[in-house]
Amino acid sequence: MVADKKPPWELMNDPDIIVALKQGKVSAIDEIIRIYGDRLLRSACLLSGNQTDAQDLVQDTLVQVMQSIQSFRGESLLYTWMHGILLNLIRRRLRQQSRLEYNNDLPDQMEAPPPMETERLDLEKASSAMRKALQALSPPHREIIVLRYFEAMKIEEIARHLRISMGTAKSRLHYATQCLRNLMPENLNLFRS
Amino acid sequence: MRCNKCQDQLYEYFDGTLTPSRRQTVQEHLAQCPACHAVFEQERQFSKSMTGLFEQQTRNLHIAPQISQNVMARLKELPQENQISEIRRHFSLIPIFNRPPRELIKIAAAITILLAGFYMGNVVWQQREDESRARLEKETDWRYILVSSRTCYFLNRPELQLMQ
Repeated sequence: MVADKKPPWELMNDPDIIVALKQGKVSAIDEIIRIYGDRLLRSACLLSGNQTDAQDLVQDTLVQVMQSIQSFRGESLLYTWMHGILLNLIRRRLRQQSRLEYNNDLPDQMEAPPPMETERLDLEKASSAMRKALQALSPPHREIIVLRYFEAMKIEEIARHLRISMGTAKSRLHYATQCLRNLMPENLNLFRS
Repeated sequence: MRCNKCQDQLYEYFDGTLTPSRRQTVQEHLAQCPACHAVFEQERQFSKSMTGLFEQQTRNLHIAPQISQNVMARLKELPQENQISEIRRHFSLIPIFNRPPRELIKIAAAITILLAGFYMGNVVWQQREDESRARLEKETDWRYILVSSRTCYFLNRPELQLMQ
């Protein structure tokens, strides 16, 4: 299922961008932002729970990409490598804050108010509830949920990305899923089959 | 196949990373076990809902248009780090330096151990050399009479006359 839905940017081969980046060409940054910018921002937003933080984090990621592109050996896809940098920056930020503060105003920051159709409203409510539930998860659980269901990563890719074993990845994903289900209000729970 | 074994392989089943024979075993078990089939359906539904909700939550998010300029400005503000990157670029031309830091540390540790080994070997060799020289000096009677600043007689070996 996840394999069938591999996003197009994961299938892209970007040697030209990498060469341009290694040569320090400015146009390469624009190209990266054009191809991966929105995707990185969305991932950062889901992981950090804050749009302003997400913009800063993506900016920091791009700066670090430019600084350490020489050490990129092409063992993973460029996007996966950049996402690894983003993940480290988010973890560092969380450590620096040394507190897990969940922003309850987040739904308003992230999106405009929904239109007033009944079905649409239900979906919006579910989406908002899910956003809060996601932010209430512990950082490792949130990371694995975002990697699996937003980044559409396979379980072995997740294990490699997080540098954990396959068994740990599977059990962590299982518990994260359970936690998220429990955090969702019963009447808005779209996860029941 | 047992239920726990089947459920343990469900993520790989969804990913399509199981071998054909394992895939078939899981498929057969799912067809005849209502409990595992329910878990499978729940995960399928969960995956579908999550993907949809994430998509809906984030589709209006776009990267700030000025981010490119901001990144360039930040890079210009970091001349020292740019210099380091420049040095790294030069070093990366030598294959040994074009390795991840962890490997470089291992190589450096190996070289240090090797050098320490050479040094210790040298110290031990020097010590043995000194000892054998001392033994030789002890065994040999080197008593002599200095006749002049250029000549001396060895008392036990009168045939020897050392002239500088």
